[in-house]
Amino acid sequence: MHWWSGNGGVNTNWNYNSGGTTNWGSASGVVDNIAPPTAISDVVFDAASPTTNASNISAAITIQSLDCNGYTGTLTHSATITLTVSGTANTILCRFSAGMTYTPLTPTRALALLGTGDFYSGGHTIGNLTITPSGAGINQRDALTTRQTATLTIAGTTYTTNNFAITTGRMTLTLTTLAAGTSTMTLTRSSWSYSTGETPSLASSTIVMTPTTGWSFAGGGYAYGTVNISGATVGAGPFTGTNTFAAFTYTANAAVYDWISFASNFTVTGTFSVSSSSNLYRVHVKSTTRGVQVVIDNSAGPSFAGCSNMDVEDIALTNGIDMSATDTGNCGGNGSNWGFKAGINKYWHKDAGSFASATQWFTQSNGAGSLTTPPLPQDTAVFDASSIDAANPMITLDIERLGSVVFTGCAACQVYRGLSTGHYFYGSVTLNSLLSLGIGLVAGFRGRGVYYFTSAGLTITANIAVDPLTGSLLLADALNMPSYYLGIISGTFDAGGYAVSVSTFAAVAGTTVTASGTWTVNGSGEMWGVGAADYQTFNNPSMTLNIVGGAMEYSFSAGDENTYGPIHFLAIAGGTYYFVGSGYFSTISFAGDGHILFDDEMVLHGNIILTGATPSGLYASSVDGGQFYSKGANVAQNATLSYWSSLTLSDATTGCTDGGNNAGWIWHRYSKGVAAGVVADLDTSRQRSVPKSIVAAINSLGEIGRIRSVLRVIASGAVTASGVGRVRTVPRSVEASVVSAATVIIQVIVKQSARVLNRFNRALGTLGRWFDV
Amino acid sequence: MRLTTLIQVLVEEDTEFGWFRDSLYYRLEEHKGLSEADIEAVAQARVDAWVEQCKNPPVPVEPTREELEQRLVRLDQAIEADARRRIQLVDTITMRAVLEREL
Repeated sequence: MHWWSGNGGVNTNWNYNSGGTTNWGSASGVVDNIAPPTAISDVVFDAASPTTNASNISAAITIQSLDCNGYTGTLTHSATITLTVSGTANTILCRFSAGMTYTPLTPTRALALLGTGDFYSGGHTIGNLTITPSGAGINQRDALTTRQTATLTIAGTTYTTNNFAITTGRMTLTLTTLAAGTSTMTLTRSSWSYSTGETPSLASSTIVMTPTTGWSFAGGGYAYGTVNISGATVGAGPFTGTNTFAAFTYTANAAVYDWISFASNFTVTGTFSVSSSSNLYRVHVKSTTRGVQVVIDNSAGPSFAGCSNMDVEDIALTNGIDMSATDTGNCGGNGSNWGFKAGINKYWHKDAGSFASATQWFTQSNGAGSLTTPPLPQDTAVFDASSIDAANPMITLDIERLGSVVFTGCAACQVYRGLSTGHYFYGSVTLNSLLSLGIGLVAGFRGRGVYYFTSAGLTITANIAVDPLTGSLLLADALNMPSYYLGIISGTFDAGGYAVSVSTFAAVAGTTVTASGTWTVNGSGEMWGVGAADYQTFNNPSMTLNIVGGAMEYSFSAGDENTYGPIHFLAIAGGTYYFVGSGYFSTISFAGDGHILFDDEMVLHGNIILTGATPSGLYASSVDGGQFYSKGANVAQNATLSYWSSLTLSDATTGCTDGGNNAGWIWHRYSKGVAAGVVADLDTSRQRSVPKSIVAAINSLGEIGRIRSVLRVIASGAVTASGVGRVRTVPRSVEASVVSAATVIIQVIVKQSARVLNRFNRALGTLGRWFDV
Repeated sequence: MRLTTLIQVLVEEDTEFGWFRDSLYYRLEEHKGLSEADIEAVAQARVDAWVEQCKNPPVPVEPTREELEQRLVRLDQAIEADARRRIQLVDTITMRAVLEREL
């Protein structure tokens, strides 16, 4: 055993050993300078230990046990140093006496307990504490408190609290059994985390969480007694694990838009209470993943009477609960067992005020039928002809979640954002041209049915996030938000044929976008982003897209395999556009100097019209030698094309214009669906398979020759066969020359008629199987 | 539930920037008080405003260095997430292959 002798005087470090002097003796009150303790030492401080100078743990050390019973001096602890007490030989594993002073100033002055035995903290506040019981485990013998920011980690066999309280910042538990008895465990900072597959005893315990930052509760799927949470700065959860709670209480922070989220189904047997004291700051009770329902098993009949001012989303119950007497909001996805109050119209009356003020809302127009609650997500907020008398009053939109909002018919007023967060509408929004809109952050459309947005010619001054899951948002008129972002997060966005003007547009995986009108995108950076085709429906061939930008860098992410209508880059003015993704495009026009880079395969069924303002002022290039197929009549002027591994463009004979000052263009000959008298040329220099199949293809075209057309075959620059009318076969000599030729051009002149053109196109299609056209 | 009857007026015009389509909505009593010229004026104002905006759009704001760095972080996170999904997918495919062999 090692008894603290303090013989080093002012040199009080545990490991002090100089000139035969140490701080340790072999018995109580004995000063015989034995060597400092080691991992097999039982260290004792008692009433005989000197108290003049504080004993200091200056270096990480492992001892077998520590017993400070009767000591009235001070034990200090250097920063980032861990005292490890690891033993199984003693009843007392670690004991701090109530009369001593032990004050680790930071959590990193840590304590680790391993093995078996009793642990007394003596009422002192401990730093980070790691307890690793083995065998019969470790017994807590008094109330345990750590620093607020400290973590209590327990891993091993059994830790028994003996009904004493624990107060710490966070608890991380991976031990077989936490025998918590009736202990109250208070977590002042963050998480409760218990690993799955263990056998804890928690059903009579109380967990109190008063977090000040984001936090979570990983319950491990066990039966808990009382869980009582309050005072979160904002946001709670997720709660994970299929846990059972005898009593679950969440008291929201009534000064912010607080929320609580669940990632797993759970059971409540006694009481379930989620509440906010504020009509304005209602608490949002939701699934961690929007659209993925979490089920509360309430078959034991718990009371929900304590719930107030909560909006519920994606939370189902196994048994019916009548909430119709409460103002519980229904955001959708909740199943049928919640007896929510039915949605009603709530009329604004009148003039200036706050959405969150219940006194502004009535069950009838013109101020009749007072209410105690502002509109819920299932309600419709109505501003009508009786809502505004004063001249242009200010209305503050300060509710985070609303249902439909209708301004039809009301007089002029100003609507301003009253939140630092976004607003979410679970219904339609109908604006009025007389409104003045303040600048907002996000207007999210989350209604899961079919809802409309009517902007009434107003310029929208907030980003819009369309997130209706299985629902749809339809435009009822043109949408004008040239300085703001339109994002399609889920579900369907149907712009109909209406014009849309946005700063930036993005549609993520799994969404459907329908549009046939003219869209204008005027933004910076990632101005257009459409997800991959595998998950995305973005096929809008009748949509016209105008891209407007300045002298900066942009990206246009087209997605994969989507179909676009004409895209016009209107005013690039020296900008650089990264055209990412592949797809099917009708026409791309690009006016002005700048640089457009394509980085994937494109199939252009219309024109590519690149007209730089100054010679060599416009560059179009492939980022990595991508493929580019153009099957239209194309125009290029003052443009340089580079870094293409494959390029096919029409030439002047089929309507394409080489406007001059072009470089790097390869003017191949191909056109499909030509008019009368036009020569359709096929360049076979890129022939890629079965040369002899050329003959079959030519013969196929020859069939057309029966209908007053001309067929001419040019192999390596020389005409090897030609005929007018019934050219049905190609001589063997021609076949040989064609097969051996470096290049073959096949010309067919057809008469204009739908029937001929159809046959001609079919024949070209046959050729297309053999030639890379 | 109170019903409101609305008159929808479709607005369509082929402009130099493509077809502009919009709708005007009027309550029945409101519509009765308007002449064709009144409605035409509102429709034309919508068209003119749109054309003007196409001609003179708001000046895009050059991203700040911080925004570009955030964009880079998002890209890196997306790449990382894709890599994780790829690993999961490869694992799934491998597992299925093993199961198929065992069957």
